[in-house]
Amino acid sequence: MSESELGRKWDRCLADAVVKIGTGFGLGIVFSLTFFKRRMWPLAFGSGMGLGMAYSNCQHDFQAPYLLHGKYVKDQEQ
Amino acid sequence: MRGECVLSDSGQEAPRNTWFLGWKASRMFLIKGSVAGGAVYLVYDQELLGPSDKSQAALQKAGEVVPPAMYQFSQYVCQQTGLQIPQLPAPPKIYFPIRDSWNAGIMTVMSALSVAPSKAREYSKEGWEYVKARIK
Repeated sequence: MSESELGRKWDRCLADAVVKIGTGFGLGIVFSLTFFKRRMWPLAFGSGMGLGMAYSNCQHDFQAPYLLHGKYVKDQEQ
Repeated sequence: MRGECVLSDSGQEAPRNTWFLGWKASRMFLIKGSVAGGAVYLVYDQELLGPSDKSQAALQKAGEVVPPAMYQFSQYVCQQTGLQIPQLPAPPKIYFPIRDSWNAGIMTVMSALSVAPSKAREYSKEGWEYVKARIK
């Protein structure tokens, strides 16, 4: 993996983390105000979910070049 | 009076107050459900919780759309209220190459560690020679 490609992946990871944490936080605010009587736990739950999703995406993005994709080939009976 | 039961023609009690409260609560639930459902649909439609490249594109799009919208909103507020919102100065562009500084720091530390034994030997030798000269 070249330096530029690594830098692009890091940029993508950071942007993804910002968007996902913000989205989770925003959804947590909406649900806290509408259904959960202005409690704090929906905000923490949403932010945590967004962080976890961003981490998973980043992990998959960085491990992608090293993952081998194989497929099963059935033995053909002659 | 509140909570007063009104007898209908059939003779059964028809509590008017509870029916009204039930309708009000269901209407509030519908409004809240609509707001929450709209937020969830917006997130699904914009693919904000999807792949990372879609999120990056959404962030870039927001960075292009939000500042002009904020500027237009401030202009609208100025026109309607007559208030003059002061223009914030442009943020200073700071160029600090963290990667180069980090790499230079690592190389400096490692080179210092590599020459540390020979330098320590040299300095201790010089110090011993100085002490010997002073004693004589």
